[in-house]
Amino acid sequence: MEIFLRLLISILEEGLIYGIMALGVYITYRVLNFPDLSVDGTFPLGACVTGALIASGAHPVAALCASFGCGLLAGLVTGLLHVRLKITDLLSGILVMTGLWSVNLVVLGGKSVLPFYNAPTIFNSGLAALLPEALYRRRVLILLALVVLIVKLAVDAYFRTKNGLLLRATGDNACFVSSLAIDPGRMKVLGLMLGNGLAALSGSVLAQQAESANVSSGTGMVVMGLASVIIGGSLFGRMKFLRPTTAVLLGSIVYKACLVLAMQLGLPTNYLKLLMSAIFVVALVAGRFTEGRKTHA
Amino acid sequence: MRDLVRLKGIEKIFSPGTPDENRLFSDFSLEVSEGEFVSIIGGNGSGKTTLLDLVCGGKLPDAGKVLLDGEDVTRLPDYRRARRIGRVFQDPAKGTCATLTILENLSLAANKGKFFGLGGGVNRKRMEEFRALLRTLNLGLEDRLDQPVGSLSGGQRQALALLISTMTPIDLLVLDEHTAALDPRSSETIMEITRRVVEEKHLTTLMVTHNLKYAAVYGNRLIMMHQGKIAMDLRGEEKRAISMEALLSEFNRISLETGL
Repeated sequence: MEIFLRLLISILEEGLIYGIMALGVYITYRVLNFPDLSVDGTFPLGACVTGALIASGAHPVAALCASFGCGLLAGLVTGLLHVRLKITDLLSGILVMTGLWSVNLVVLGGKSVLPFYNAPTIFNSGLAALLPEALYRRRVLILLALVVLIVKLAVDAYFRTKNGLLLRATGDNACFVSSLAIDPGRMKVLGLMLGNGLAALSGSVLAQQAESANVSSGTGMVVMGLASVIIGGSLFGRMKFLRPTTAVLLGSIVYKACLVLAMQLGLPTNYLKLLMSAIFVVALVAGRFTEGRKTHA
Repeated sequence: MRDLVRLKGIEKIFSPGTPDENRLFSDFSLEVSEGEFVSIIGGNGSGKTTLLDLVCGGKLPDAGKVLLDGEDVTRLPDYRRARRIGRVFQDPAKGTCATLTILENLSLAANKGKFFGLGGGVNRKRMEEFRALLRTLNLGLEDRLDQPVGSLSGGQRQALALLISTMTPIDLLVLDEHTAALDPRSSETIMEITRRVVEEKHLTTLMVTHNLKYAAVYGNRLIMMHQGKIAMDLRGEEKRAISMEALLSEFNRISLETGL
């Protein structure tokens, strides 16, 4: 029972951490219809910026904000490559992802891993330190839930604003946006900035939870994010009372659960990325199947 | 009457430098005065849709000038011109957003020309105004404000697109075969709504159509295009006097001359 509970908590924790990144992928892939691969670079960018800042004594919340800001900038580059220099969407993402590998190494001072054990993070200082004794054991989960809730509510609120509505319109019908006297290219850049900002924020939260920043923590993030978005959409998308953002977060948790389950059943760790891709393919095809049924009904 | 639209010495060459090179317009000029409702007809490849694209900014000319209300907009991209131009496309899907609700579509349209910031996207205060506007369409859309536009029929979507494109003050309405994808009944409805909106708002209008009857019945000026040139340009009394049969025989005569 104890083992089961511990597994459940680690699934929830990881699902929530990567869920923030999945919300970013939701914005670029679902809302904007842009397959953004730069996320594989912006996720570790957030982790590295956080590592460098916390190791040099910065406040953990400042590290969260700085990571988000750096993610915005990386998204800006992807957006400008695509919109201004007319490079295809996939290639723009690959170029930024590749370039960020060097940037991340430089940020970490040439090291590929930077541990900052026992330094203050959002999980052991500030609000976490105020938690009563009984809850302190679960502080990581509690703080994660809080951070994810804030991010989710902010994304929901954004999509209710004029600008958020316009972003949804951009992914749906760029011609309509032009006819409203707005440059759809500019909206695309903005959406990519937000998506990558959230990916970097997610990387920052992961680094703070692990108390270590790793340049290679981004490998497979695009696949993970897309899988979460698609699993969330096909499992929970039809539940009208759930917001799409909630569905994405649930999708992220379900996806993590599948991975953890496979590991528990004895799958060697080396097969993890292969499994990640396999689950993604299953989710994609199953999603198409349920959509197909919906249109025939 | 001042000229609202002026095309001067327009050149437009498609696929230049290839065996498919096609010089559609050379030294093409057109003036449209304020308050004119111009119906434009012509065969395939006669240049009618390209003409609209040149006015709206979807295509840029290789030479010549495009003036909108006296201002040179030749190099201005489409979205910069859109503030003063409303456009309805042949494809009903182009003028509205399928995944957004009617209310969301109208809210966005009502904000055209203003800043799209972090204020509330859906304007519940203007709901009654939107309802009244939809009621004028007589399609029952006023009771379906919260439904996604994708659930509407082509005719309903086109009516909504027409409403959206004329919601904020514009100088020019551009209709690009906007009834061509609709069934005959919906076409009639859309044309009647078009006539009413244009009259109520005194809009200068360019309408490309394949329907000779609409070209004869609607508008106060008629242009027939042929191979990038104006083959016929009727106004006022001449335009009122023309019948659909006369138009058809003229249309056939021009087409036969070139063996098309």
